[in-house]
Amino acid sequence: MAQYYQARGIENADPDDIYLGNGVSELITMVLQALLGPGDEVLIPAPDYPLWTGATKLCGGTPVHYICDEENRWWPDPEEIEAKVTENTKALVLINPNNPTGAVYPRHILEKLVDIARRHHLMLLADEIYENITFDDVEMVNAASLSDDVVTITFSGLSKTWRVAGFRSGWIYVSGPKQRAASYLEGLELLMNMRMCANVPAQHALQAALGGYQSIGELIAPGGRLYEQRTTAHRLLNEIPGVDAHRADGALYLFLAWMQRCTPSKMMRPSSSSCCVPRRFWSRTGARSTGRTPSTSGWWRCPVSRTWRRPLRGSLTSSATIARERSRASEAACAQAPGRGQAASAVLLQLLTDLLEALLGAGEPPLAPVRQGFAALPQRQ
Amino acid sequence: MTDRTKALVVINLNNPTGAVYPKEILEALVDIARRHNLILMADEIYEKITYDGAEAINMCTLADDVFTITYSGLSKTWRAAGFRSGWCYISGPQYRAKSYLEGLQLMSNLRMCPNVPGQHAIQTALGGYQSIDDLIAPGGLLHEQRQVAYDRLREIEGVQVEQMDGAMYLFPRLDPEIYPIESDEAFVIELLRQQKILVSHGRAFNWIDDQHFRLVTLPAVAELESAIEGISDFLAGYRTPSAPHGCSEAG
Repeated sequence: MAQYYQARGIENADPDDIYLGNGVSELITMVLQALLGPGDEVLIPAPDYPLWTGATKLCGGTPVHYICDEENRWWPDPEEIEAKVTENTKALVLINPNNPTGAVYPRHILEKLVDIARRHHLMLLADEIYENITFDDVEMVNAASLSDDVVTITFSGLSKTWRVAGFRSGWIYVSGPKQRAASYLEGLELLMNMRMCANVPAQHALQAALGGYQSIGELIAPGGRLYEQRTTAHRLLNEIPGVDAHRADGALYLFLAWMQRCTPSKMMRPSSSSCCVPRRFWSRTGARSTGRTPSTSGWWRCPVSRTWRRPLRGSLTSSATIARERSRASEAACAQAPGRGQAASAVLLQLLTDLLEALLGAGEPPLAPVRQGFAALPQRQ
Repeated sequence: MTDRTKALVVINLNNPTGAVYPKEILEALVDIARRHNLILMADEIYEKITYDGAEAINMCTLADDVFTITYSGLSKTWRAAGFRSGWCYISGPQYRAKSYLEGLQLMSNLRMCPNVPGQHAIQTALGGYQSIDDLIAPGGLLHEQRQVAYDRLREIEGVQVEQMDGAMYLFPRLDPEIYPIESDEAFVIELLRQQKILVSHGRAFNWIDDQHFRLVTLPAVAELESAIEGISDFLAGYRTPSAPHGCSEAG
């Protein structure tokens, strides 16, 4: 693992700087637990992966959200972040590539974030779990490679790039002036001892995964599944009136904006297995402080690695019409050049059409045809 | 017991003492939890490792009106500690603990799930042939190691030890008249330095005096004999000059 980081430009990465965990989730909790006391603040992106906010609160800390700029590819705004630093701020979290937006932060933004941490003596917590899932040759920069004078904890693991989330195999790499965090690391080790160790079968998986042939390369290249799924989902979603989705540069998600007012009674509550998650699920504060009023739009995250299970809110009549037309067009296209992605898209659009028509009709959505339709979807989409 | 008491923890079979609690004691503990509305937390990780017919009773079988959380796993009985595979079984009137269980579920979600390879191991481990039975029977490794450790420790002057009924630990007491130990932590560190033998001091288990240490009986018989001889040599250096049965020079 030290060699993995050395190969990414961090020359002095050492095995002693790496701690293994039962997934990154466990490590996030422990890292924050060792760091935070009551009243301590942590700068966390909004939208974020909500474990960061939840774990911060559980550890007695206060999450302070910095708003990522939707108009600027969902990148963080360094000025906005720095304005939120207080004397209680202990750490700056960045999630890159980003869940839920799919953004990949450019070098110049990352350098500014590192500099904020440097000047305000913050620990930099770099959640890079999606680090090898980037598209169109977008550059992924490991935050730890940008400084040797900022204590940085880099999180990664086998769950995404190597697709073995069930193994519970993650790690943190601690870089920078570790001597300034000696007692912190001592506390972290104490917490780790309490749960013994990272599970051993998955430790064996690490070396196998990190070395040799890297299958993720095929999946993210044009023609690869993840690439095609991202591209298709992005295109189709943006064709729906009122939906605005930025094209994700990395990770497995599109974060949509729904630009029109909707009627709550027509909302379907996402099930626990739903792949579309409503905006309230993501941390979102501080819009008032930046002077921006939240629009009536909602944000929905659609993972491109799975099928959608719920329709989107919005202007149902026009959406139904468009969806119907697109569905017919897709079917025609599929007949000529069937690919799995296109076939699935066609079925999905037909389902959306049926569902929207049903919603506009009797008022009670008939779920039976929807369930049958989902069951008919090609597997592994 | 106070009005702030929320739970009663019972570690049976016991680490570090190797005790196995009899039914009457367990029933009395269950009753305390019942009458004071406590959550009963039964740590039963060593549950199948018993010797000479000692009976390990699962506390959850003693009452259905006490909210009980029973802990166990693959680490000891099935000797796969590295898999990190454990579970808790919730029994009793769960309707009285709905919000607690909701919170527990939330905490569980924070870390996603237990690792899946370890989950696969559970069914294999719990079913079919149980190799632990051979290990704890007379002639089995754990049984023999337990016997040798007990016999050798008792031979050391001033060492008082109860034979374990379960688990894999002995928790001997060093007679303070013969071994005036001020800090049991310093004692074990010095033992480690001098004899390269590692035991755990009693206070590491939140025990109340400095006269105890825990010996693990997992090493092979030959290693245990050699280690206890080293402990004996080390203890010779701790004996007070006025020890009744004569003393030997240290080192």
